[in-house]
Amino acid sequence: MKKNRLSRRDFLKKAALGAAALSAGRFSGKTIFAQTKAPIKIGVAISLTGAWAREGELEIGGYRLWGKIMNERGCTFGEVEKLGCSGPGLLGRPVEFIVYDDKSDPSEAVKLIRKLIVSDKVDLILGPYGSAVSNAIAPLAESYQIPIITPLANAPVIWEGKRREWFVGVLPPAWKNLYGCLQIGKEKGAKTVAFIYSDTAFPIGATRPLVVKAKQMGIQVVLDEAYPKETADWEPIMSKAWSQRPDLILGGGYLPDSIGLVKAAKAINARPKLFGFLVGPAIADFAKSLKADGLFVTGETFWEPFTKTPGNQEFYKAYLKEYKGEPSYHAAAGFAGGQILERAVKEVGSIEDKKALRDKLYSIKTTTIFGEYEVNPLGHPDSGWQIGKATNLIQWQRAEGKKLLPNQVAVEGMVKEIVYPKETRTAEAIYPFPGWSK
Amino acid sequence: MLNFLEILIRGLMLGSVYALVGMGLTLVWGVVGIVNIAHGEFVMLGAYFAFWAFSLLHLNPLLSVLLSIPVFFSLGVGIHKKITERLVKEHELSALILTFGMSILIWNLAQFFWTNTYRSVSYLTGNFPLMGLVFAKSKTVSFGLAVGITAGLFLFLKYSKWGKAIRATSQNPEVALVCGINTMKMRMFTYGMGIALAGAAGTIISLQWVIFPQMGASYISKAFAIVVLGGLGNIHGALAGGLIIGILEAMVTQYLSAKMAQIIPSATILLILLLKPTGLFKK
Repeated sequence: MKKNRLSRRDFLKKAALGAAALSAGRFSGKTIFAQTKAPIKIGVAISLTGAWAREGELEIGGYRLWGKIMNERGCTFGEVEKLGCSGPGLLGRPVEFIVYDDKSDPSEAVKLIRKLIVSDKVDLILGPYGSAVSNAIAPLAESYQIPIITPLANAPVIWEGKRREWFVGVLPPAWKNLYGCLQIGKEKGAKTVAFIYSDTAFPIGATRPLVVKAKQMGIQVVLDEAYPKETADWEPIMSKAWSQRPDLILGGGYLPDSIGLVKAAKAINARPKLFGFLVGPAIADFAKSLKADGLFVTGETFWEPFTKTPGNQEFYKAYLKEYKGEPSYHAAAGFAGGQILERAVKEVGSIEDKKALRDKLYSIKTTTIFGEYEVNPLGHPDSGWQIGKATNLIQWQRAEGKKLLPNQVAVEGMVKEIVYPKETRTAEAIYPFPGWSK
Repeated sequence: MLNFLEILIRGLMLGSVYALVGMGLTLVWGVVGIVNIAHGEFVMLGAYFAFWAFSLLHLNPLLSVLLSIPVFFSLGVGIHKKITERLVKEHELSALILTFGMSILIWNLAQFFWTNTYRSVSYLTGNFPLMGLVFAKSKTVSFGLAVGITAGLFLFLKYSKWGKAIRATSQNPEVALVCGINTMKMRMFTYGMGIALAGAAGTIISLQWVIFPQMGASYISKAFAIVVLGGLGNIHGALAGGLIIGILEAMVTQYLSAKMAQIIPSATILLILLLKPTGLFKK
């Protein structure tokens, strides 16, 4: 009877074959770059913990998806695809990210950007989340002469009169974010407005100019107050705003602010004719968290899955496949940051010539999946500030009875509708606020 | 006048939750002798406890509050038995470093498992009018729960055998030991109670505010102010301190500014340490 036992030699042979098969398996599905091609190191210091962690997480998701697609096919979607897909990687080199957590702390971000440039010797840098952090790191781009694209920052303090030469933005000026609320209010006869907003660079930059604009439009400002970034209970500030019985309550800061302010408004039965809050309403978490209480709240958006920009459908599908969840405009902006870099690098044909790359970033006019890209040129007092991109205002409305657009998804029985400006709107704004759901 | 009364009541309601957080911290500090920097993280865990129980098991958040007490008590007892008890006789700095590390570990784990997605419990989100005033349902119920838990804690400490033993351990551990009290057991029990109070406060907070992994940080600073204001280890002081901070926060926001209200905890710590370092209510 033959014994079914392995001799030592057979065992070694099979083990070697097995190991070879396993290691081959590890590489299957991954793109193999020629060994001579060093990766292009892209540094990112972004909020992965702290107050802006969620937004940072979404933005880095966009960056990583862009990098992954570049490493697979050498180009992403839309207009940039016309430049050609000449094999995996950017200029044939794999894209590699070095990512640090700035803990939602601008001073931490400054240290990390220095580390990325000096110690890690990254080739390129993609921006952090938010205006406060972007404003803190912008001078480093100037002093180290490395171009930085910051997709999610738009406070005036970053660019206004600063003549930045190495720092470009993707978002339009912050004051446009909730300007649509004032316009809608004015059209519908609003007489008073209360502004309550987080005491950080972006909400201040987005709200304070509106105080002036509201007065110019003949809307009386009954409250203009910044609350601390650390606020965890928004009821006292909402109560203060509502005690003035304004027609419009506008402001907020980021996602937690918008959720907290809506909860506080319902808790004290505040019923202005329109609520408009920054950042949060455009994120699906807002609707998931508040459910029907999020109805009729407005907020700015720069991108939606149903926006008709080149390559947007492909991006949306790729994002869903990669992350199994809905992208927000933060993720789209991150992806677009990568696309802008992709175009500039491909058009220059090198990443070593930083000055040529910088000149390209300041001069190109293009359209990404996120929308138009064009910044104030070098020599302009506000150089680097985005001027091409449009801002839309969304409002959560009931999904029931609505015919949805392709990729327009209902969340908790509600859909986001673009209500401003008129040229791009998908529905009429619901005004005045009909009252709280039971 | 109506507005003033409304703000005052809102401050009182806010303060009752702060008091709950502060009482847990002061209890552990006073009896166990450990400054628990991770206290805010247990508040966060309590909030997540209510959220997951509500969204996965459809458990009424009010039941979660009651359920959180034994769950977090057991958690606290386990942590103390395995980790913090060995620090009791060590230098205070050791406990500070350990609990600081524990705090970072807990919120990092929370972030890893539950991500940074902001959550909230959509329960009792409306309001109701009473005598011309408007009250948030969630805050009113939270206030009731906080008052109930506080009253239970006071009765337990004042009248039960274990409560008396805890007080004795807090006042003089050596004498308590001589009198036959198992002080080690009392410390373990107290640590469990402290964590249970933090967990219960967290479940109550989940009814009102946004839940995210780093939320504990905003409560720990308030809890420290409450402990300093009320006097170290003084439960009555912590209750009064919580209410004072809550009312001050609501009043200053309404009549001065929200930014000024935010400096109340740090200003309180500074003023009390300068003028009456033993706290306002230390006997």
